[in-house]
Amino acid sequence: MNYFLLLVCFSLVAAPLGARAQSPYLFRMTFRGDCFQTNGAGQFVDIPITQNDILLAAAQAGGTSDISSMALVYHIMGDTTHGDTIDIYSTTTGQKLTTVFGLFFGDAPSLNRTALTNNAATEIRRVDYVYTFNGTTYTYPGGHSMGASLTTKRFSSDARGLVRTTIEGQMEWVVNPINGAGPKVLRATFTTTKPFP
Amino acid sequence: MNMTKALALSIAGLLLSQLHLRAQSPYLYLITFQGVCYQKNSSGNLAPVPLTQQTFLQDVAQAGGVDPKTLVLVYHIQGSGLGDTIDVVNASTGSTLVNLFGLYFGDTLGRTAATNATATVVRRVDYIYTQQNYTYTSWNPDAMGAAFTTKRFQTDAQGNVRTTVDAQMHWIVNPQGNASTKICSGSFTTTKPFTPH
Repeated sequence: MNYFLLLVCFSLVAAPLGARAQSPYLFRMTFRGDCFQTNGAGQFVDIPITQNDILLAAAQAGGTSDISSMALVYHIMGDTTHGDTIDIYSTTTGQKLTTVFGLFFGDAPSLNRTALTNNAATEIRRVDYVYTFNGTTYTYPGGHSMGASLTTKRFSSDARGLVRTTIEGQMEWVVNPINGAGPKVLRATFTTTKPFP
Repeated sequence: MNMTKALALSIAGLLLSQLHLRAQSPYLYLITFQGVCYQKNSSGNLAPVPLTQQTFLQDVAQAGGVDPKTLVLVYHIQGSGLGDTIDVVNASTGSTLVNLFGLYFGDTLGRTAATNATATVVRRVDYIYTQQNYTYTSWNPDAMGAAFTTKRFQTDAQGNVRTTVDAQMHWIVNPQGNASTKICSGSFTTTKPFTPH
């Protein structure tokens, strides 16, 4: 019985420690922006986009238009070498389907670029390069960075030591001509909402 | 010189002056700037510092020991061989004191600008280069940010081209002296052509 009590006490203590160590690194997000492109008459048009448009573009590139089981997810260190990514995940299996954006080199000594962090390490501001990897309506498979993101990360701990993370960004990027479509220039803002799944 | 020849010369002169006006569209424009820089304060927190065009002028003036009233901030079309620049110039002579920002490579290095059919609107995402150490810029051979830039060109009845440029930009300022990294963002709009006075 004493042994059982000891186990219960240990598990109560260990659970919050585990929660601290296993802070979420995948977050659902909202995404709002504008896509500027020319229409058939050669005039600029402004097409509003949301996370659903990003999902649909990626889904169509993969041969489907069903986005009902997809989520746009901010992935902290989604690329273990370069930094965070914005990915599409399956809400059914929890598996990553594709990467849409890479937000890289916002704190890269090799490029002499530094991020700004407060002393408490609860707020980070940085300017990341935006990379796109696949040919879709809103992304181009470019080897160069196609834009930039002004990214802010905030971390707050509750009384149990659980870390709540929020990440927001203002980004702009280019989509080069592809599949007969002219160039597009886009700008958008995003905010993480809750941990995925 | 007979009247017919004089008249022909006058007409030719008028035509040439019109052509000259078209060819010599202004390439320096006064700009208004609104923005903010986040930096670490003495408590270690991240604090915003508002930016206007006057902020840049006072900074450059202080470093150079000149009166900020003698300076203006201009958008300089093709200010360098790499593209457009934002310069601090002497208001009386028009001579450039400092090239604060370079807005380069929005239509090269794997990026394409978007232009309407009449070539009166151009939208692009430029890399931002800062090549001088001041309070709000730091030298770096790599890009320090990006600008979402829109240029508009309107031609009046006389063939004069009116140019307006507006942009949203964000950039990094690396630590200098006791100052922390700064993460800055802002927007600017050109107002009218700059002529020294």
